[in-house]
Order: sequence, then structure tokens, then C-alpha cells
Amino acid sequence: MRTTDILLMCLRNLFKRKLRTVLTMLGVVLGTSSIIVLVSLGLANNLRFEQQIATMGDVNVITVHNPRNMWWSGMDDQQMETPNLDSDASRSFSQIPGVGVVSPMLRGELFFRSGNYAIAWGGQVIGIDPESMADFGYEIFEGRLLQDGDNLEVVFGYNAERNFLNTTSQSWSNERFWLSMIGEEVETYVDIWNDRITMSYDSSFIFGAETQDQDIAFGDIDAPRPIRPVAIQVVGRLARSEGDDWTTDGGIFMNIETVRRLNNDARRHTQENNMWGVDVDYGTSFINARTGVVQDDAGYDMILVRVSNLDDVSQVRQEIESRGFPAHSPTQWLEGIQGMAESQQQMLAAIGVVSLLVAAIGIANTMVMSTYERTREIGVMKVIGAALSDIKKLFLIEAALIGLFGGLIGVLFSYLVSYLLNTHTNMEFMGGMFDWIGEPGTVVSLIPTWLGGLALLFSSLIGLISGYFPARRAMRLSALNAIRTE
Amino acid sequence: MLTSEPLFKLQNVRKIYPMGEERIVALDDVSLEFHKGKIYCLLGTSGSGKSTLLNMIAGLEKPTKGSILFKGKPLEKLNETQLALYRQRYVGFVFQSYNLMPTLTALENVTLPLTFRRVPKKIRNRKAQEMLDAVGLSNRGKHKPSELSGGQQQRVSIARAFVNNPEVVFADEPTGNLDTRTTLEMMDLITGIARKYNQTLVIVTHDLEIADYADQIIRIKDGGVDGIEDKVALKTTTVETAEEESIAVKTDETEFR
Ligand SMILES: Nc1ncnc2c1ncn2[C@@H]1O[C@H](COP(=O)(O)OP(=O)(O)OP(=O)(O)O)[C@@H](O)[C@H]1O
Ligand SMILES: [Mg+2]
Repeated sequence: MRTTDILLMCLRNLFKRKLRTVLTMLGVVLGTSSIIVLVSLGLANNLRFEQQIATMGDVNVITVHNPRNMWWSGMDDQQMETPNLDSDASRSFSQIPGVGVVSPMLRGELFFRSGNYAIAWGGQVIGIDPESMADFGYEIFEGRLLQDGDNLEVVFGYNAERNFLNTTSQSWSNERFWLSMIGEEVETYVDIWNDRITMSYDSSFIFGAETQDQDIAFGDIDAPRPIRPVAIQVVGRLARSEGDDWTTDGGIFMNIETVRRLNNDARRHTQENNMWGVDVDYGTSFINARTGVVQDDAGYDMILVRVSNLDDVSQVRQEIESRGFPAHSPTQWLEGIQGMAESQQQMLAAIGVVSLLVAAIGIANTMVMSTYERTREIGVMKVIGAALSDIKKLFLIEAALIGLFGGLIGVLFSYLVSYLLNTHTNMEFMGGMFDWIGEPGTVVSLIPTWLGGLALLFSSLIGLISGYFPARRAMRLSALNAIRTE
Repeated sequence: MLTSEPLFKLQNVRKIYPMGEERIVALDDVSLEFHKGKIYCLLGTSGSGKSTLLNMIAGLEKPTKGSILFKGKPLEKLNETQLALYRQRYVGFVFQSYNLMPTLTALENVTLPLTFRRVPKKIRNRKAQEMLDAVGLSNRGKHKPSELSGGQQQRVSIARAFVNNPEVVFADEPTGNLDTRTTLEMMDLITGIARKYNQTLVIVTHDLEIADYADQIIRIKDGGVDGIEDKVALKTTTVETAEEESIAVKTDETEFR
């Protein structure tokens, strides 16, 4: 038989037993639509997660802190056992599977001045490996990123220039920076591209005239030797960070080697001049408990570890923590929620599969009934020359058509349900979990075209499978017995 | 008398139905020949084994013993798929109870054997309409079987049996459900077509009036051949068909495997 003839005959048979066909299809409709709707809920859930994560900036980056930074006073034996976040640690992180790039970071306690304006605090100096800047998603707004060999060349964060404050003013509040962070238009005092900017680890230079000769008296004590500030050159300004990360937008980026040198210089300078017992933040340096000498330290403040695949982030973080380094990732808190959502989805999907299974049994039942009913017809067809394969195809395709049409109606029905869910569901229904996103257009249910297509394919396949045994039964019927039955 | 190879040749055919402990011998040691273009009648009382014999020649049942040669090839050696093909290519069938497809129209019922042969719709509709014209149902093509009388249904079923231009048509008590007048009409029709196209016809009946239409009457009794009666007509047709018969067998044999 030609395929069109088989199809037409199947359609005719289905149409002849309208009620039964519709009832059988109903099972498929419910089965497919429950699966589609459930999957659509899961997809929408994932989408919401992704949207959330997108607002969080670079979610693939794990920040590892130096455990030795937890110690503020002198180094003792216990601290010696604490692992140091140094270049060895950095290298070992880069060998963890799933890790893309690793970038150490060192904070600098540095001060900037331009004319009467200065950055005394608030503006954070971040020493970074110039090569890794692009890998960590820093995007340039004007100028260029850092490059190898940069020394006194710096890159300003998007809003960093607004940390310059008037040194003659009494107010040291840098609200101008925060206003600019929330999107207010704030004029800048300093033209970072053209004005001369100087820098030093010694804050004294920003409070007085810019001379190295000025003596600052400290009572009876010998005045410390003031440090001559150096001129820096701004080579770039970063684009606004995703998720308005203030450490990035307010940061000033320099070559990590420059920062390390300056930090070590600063320590020595502080030690030399610290004769009055003021408690000093030594950062990652340490004082040898016995000799009392400040030593240079090869450690970093932090190491940023960029994981290639978001799915590996949690595993890599745990691995780093197990090596004794405090580490955290922006999506850490989402992991639990996501795990919960996933197991929920799996349970719902299982319900869907069961309902489809029931539908499949329904089709099989209908088709078996049909072979009983049409025994005589089958027999006659065989006697007048139907090939065995044609008989088989007639039943298989009829079953597949039930699946296909049921699936089709199921898909349409699912779109309706999806539409109603999206227009009538209050997000609080989801336990208020996602209230804070609060974006209009947040979806509860999402049916992409592939899902509809897949459902159709799947329901037809289920029809085909359900029709297999009835079709074989019809094919194997003895023609003679069949025409004898009355 | 006939030197050419017969269309069917039955050699010591025996059919036994096991019924629990008992064994029912439906046919016992039947040897017969059927030739192309002849009309045969299997005549016998109820339960004598007529249908069993017919069904075996039609490839619906296998003999317990013996051989049924179709153009020299043993039918009992064919598997189900090959038997289906054999019926599709060479056999037409007329049932006592018409056995039309209730969902199909008269025309569609007639086209069915052609549909199974993958004949394109246009051609098969034309052929089926010709057959309907031949059986006198030109304007009933669109009717469902339920809208036709018994006699009309049997006409449709005759049209269906012949539409394929089969070599042999089997009819198991084709007029069993019809009145005398319609029976004679039906017999005229069926034998008329068969003679026109030089087709072999095997009719099962217990009605002597029907047997009158045959070239040869084969009397069956208790599963055996009780006697063979040649009619006068047989001799005349034999002479004029003997030659074209051998040609037809040759061409067809290349097709049949
Ligand atoms: N499938 C079967 N199983 C068992 N016995 C059978 C079967 N088919 C036929 N028989 C037996 O074989 C014998 C011959 O049956 P068959 O149908 O050939 O008779 P028949 O000559 O066609 O009779 P009728 O004129 O009543 O149709 C009968 O005794 C019948 O009971
Ligand atoms: Mg019978």
C-alpha cells in the first residue's frame, strides 16, 4: 500500500470511532501537557536563576582570601602553620580541574593628590596581574587596560575619580562617590587625563604643600623622613561594572608588582618611624616575633580564581577551602535553593512521565480492542491480498496518529495553561522567594519551540510503541479464523 | 486429453484437524487438476470438506500431507508473506457473506485489491468503475455497503474479486444468501466475466443448478473425490485456449517467485 493510502485509511478508522478516539487522545493530551507544563516551570525557574545571576556580575569568579590576613599582631608559631596565599598557592589553584585563569590581587594603602584634591581613603588600590585583567571581564571605557611592564601607569574604575576630595575642606565624607554610584550626575574635580596626579604610601604629603622639604614635627621625637611622592599616569578608565560593584568602580588598578614593592617600602618606612607604639596594620607582612623585624612577604591579599564553567564553581570553591583558604563565590547562597528546585523539578517530571505511561496504556488498550473488533476486516483484507506489513502499518500508524493528535492538542493546551500561569500567578505563590527581583515580565512558565516539538515527537513515539503489540497481533491473525468469526 | 501444465495440481492432499484426542480427517488423499480458463464446481454435502479444499488452494491453509502445485510450484512451501503476495497477484475471492469493508464506499471496496498493489489512485478508480459498470452498479459507487441490498453487495464483492484481473477466482457458496432469481443472475455474471477474460473459476456449492454452470463438476464426499463430471462445453473451450495458455504461464512464471 502507498503511504498516503495507509494514512487515509487510518484517519478514516479514527474518525469512524470518534468518541473512542477522543477519549484515548485525552489521556495523551493530559500526559503531554502535564509534562510540558512541568518542564516549562523548570525552564522558567532556571531562567529566573540566570537573570538573578546576571545581576550579580561575574559569577564564575571565586575570591580566595589570605588566611594570614586574619592576624593583625606579630607572627607566631601558629601563624607559621597557616598556609600563605602566595605564588605557590596561586599555581596550585590553577591546576584544579575546571579552573580557567587565576589572578592574585594585592591591596595597596596608597594616597593620591592632584592640586588641592586628594584621595585619602575610600579609593582602593588594587594590584593585579596586568595580563589577567581582560580574562576577569574588566572592560575599558576610555584608554586601555593595564599591560605587562606598566609601573606607574594606572587604570581608574568607572567612578574612582569622584573619590578626589578637597583637602582644604573640613568634610571628608566621600558622598560624592556614592551619589555617582547611584547614578547621580556628579562633577569631577580632577581631570584624570590631563591634571598631574602624584602618589605616595605616606599620607603626610596630601595634607600640606607638595614639598619633600617640609618638616612635620612630632613633638620630641625625630621627625620621620617624608617620602617624595611620585607622578602617576592614568592610562585607562574602566566601564561601569556589572552589578555596580563598588570595589571595582571605585578602585584604582595597578601592576601587582608595583603594589608589592610599594607595600614593602611602606612597611619598612612605618617600622623605621613607628617609635611611639601605635598599632599598625601590617597587611600581609609580618614581624618576626623574635627579632621584631618586619619582613617582606610574598603573599597576596586575595586570589581571584575564574572557573570556566558555572557548574564547577561550587566544587572548585570547596576544593580551595579544603586546602585551608577562605573562599567564596557570588552564587554560593544560590546553590542550596537551586538544588531544592532541581529535586522539585525531578519529582514533577516523574509525575509527568507516569501520566504519559498511563496514556500509552490507554492507546495500547484501544488498539487491542480495535483488533478484536476488526478481526473480520483484517481477515478479509488478508484474503484479498493485503501484505502482512500493510496490516501492521495500518495499526501502528493509527496508534501513532492518536499519539500525534493527542500531543498536538496537548501542546496547544499547554500554551494556554502557560499563558494563564504567566498572567495570573502572583510571584508570592512561589513562597516569596523571588520577590526581590520584582521585575515585571518575570515568567512562571516558559515553553520554547523545541519543547513543543519534542513533546509532539515523544507523544507520536509513545503511540507507535503502544501500537506495536496490537499491530503484531493483527498481523499474525489467521485470515481463515478471522473470516470465520461471526 | 490436456497436455499443458495445469494451473493447480493437487497430489495426495490430506488435511487433518486435531480436536483434542480425536483427529478429524477433513480431506483424505485428494489428487486433482485445475486448468486455466475452466470453471470448476466443488459439489458436496455439508461437512464433506469442500471449503477446506478451496481454502488450501487459495493459500489460506496448509495441507497436512501432500502437495498443491501452482504452476508447478508447491504452495505449501511458501511463508505467510509469500502467500499474501500470491493472493495479491493471482487470486480473487468471493465470500458467501460478501465481506465488504463497512467503512468504505462500494467503489473504494472494489479498489482495495489494487490499493494493496500500490496502483495509483486515478488508475485504480478507473478500473474499479469499469468493474462496477460490468456488474451493473454504475451509479452505486458512492454508496456504503450498508446502503446496498444483499445482491448488490455480492455484485460489489464480485467486482472486487475480478478487478485485479486474477488468474483464478474462488467462490465459496457465493449465492448461499440469495434468492433463486438473484442466484442465477449472479452466476451469469460471474461465469460471464471469467469466460470473457479466460479466468479460472472454482465455485463451492451444494446446489445442482449452480453446478450446471461449470465445465467440470467435482463431487466431494467425506473428504474424498467421489467423481468427476466433464461437461460438453469443456471440450470446446479446451481446444481454443490451449495455445494461449502456455504463453501466459511462461510470462507469469518469471513474475512469480
Ligand atoms: N478449523 C477446523 N478445526 C477442526 N475441524 C474443522 C475445521 N475446519 C473444518 N473442520 C472439519 O472438517 C470437515 C470439513 O469441513 P468443511 O468446512 O470443509 O466442510 P464443507 O464441505 O465446506 O461444509 P459446508 O457445506 O457446511 O460449508 C468438517 O467435519 C469440519 O468439522
Ligand atoms: Mg463450507
